[in-house]
Amino acid sequence: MPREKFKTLTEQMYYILLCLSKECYGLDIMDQVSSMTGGRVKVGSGTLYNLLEQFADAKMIRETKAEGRRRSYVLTEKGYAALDAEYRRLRRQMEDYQRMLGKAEEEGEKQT
Amino acid sequence: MKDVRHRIEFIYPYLRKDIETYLEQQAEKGWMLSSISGCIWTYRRSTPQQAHFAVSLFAGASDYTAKPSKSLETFYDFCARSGWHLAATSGQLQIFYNLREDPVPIETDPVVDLEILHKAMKRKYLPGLLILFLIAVLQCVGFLYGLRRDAIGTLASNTELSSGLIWLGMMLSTLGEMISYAVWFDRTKKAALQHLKLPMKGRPFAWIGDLCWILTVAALALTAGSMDAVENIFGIVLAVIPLLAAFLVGRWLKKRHKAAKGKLLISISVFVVMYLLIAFTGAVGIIRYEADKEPGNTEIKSSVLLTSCSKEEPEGTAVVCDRYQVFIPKLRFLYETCKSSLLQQDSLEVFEEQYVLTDAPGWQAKQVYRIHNKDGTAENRYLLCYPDRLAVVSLCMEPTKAQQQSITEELLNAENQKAGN
Repeated sequence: MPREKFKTLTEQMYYILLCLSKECYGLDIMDQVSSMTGGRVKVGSGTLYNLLEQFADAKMIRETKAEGRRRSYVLTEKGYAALDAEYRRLRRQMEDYQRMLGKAEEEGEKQT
Repeated sequence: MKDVRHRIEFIYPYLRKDIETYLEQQAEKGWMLSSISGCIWTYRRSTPQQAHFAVSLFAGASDYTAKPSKSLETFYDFCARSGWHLAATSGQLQIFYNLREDPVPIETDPVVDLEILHKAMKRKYLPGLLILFLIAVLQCVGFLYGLRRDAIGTLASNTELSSGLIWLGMMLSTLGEMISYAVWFDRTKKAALQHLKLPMKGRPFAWIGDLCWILTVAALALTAGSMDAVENIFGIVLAVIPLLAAFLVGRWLKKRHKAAKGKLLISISVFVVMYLLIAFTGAVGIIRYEADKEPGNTEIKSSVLLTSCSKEEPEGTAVVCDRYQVFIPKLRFLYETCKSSLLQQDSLEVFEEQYVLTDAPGWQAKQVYRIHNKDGTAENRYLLCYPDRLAVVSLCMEPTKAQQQSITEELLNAENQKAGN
């Protein structure tokens, strides 16, 4: 698909990378994301498998351990940078929201 | 009561939702998918249950490996973790079931989902379609060239006609499939980039492919009905045996531990060798069969477009007309095509002969053409154009009016002559 890969992250990519800020078994990520988001975000097994492959190919994560078919991964510097860039992008979106709608909300609360 | 049921299923791997819905309905009726072998899907009886099905395409998977690769096994582990168990697999196609009430789908990110699906499609399905399309185009070009060079021979030959129709159907259907996928992919990509759920259902322009298959089968049935038994048996053997041999060898090799590419190559080689072997022995057999036919008999062949009657007298027979061929086009517009084809035969050029329009009312034909040599001398060979038929006649002497009358009657009733008369 002609798009700059991982320039922006989908919600599922974001949470998978967030889980891998600490070394973690690939298989455990599905449960971790679900508990981290209170069940709001769920990552499918196929999506997780393929994203781990793609992240590893893009050198955003690296394999740390392999016990049979169980493999654990951790973020690389490139992965941290992508996660950080996404965090900043999301923060800017929040700040824009606050600037445009935050005051109006505060005034609305005062009036009530 | 049967516990196993086999069904022939033709599926389009990218239309996963259709397959999933169908399998869920079967499970509700008590039939769980247990294996896939080509287009034969096997179901086992089970207690009716609400199972969820998911279809995935795994680009690296192959039918020619005895065991799943390590990466495929890891993929199975991931799926099993969320309750998805393998129901059946065929090449890249991986079908899972899940008995949980509301399972997390295998694919949850539409962008990643589409990327993986497209990667798998590009690796096997689309190249296969493209190769088939190119072969079909070449065959159609060959058919058209044959039609242009020898229209009458092509139209009168059931084998050439049916082969032309099959390849035409194949060309249009493969083209229809590729367009369908391209349109589906384009729509789905737009939806995926907006993070909408992929529109997995619907196959745009599917009717092109379906219509072509129906036309091909109908044309085959029509032509096969008018072929003689030897041609039919030969056609069936040529179509079925090489495929069956390649399939059986492939299955046998699948159980052995060798490289997938090697197995594929062996299967293709078996198909090609068997095909050539049968084609060669069949062709020799048909030549002998034709040679064994006694001269003096009227041979009538009828294709869906043309009836051809021919008779050749044995050497030494005291008759005026020693050879004739009558062509009766079944569609009016083919009359002129057949006429031009006969007037412009390659053999005329080779022997430096040509048909010259002649005034010969004795033949009772609309037009009479007579063969003339390069030096202008006339041969006793004619092309007679009757309103509904064309006749090529070779005489051993200049005929009298009575002989012309008698020959004309035979030509106008050629299709009613009993074989052997």
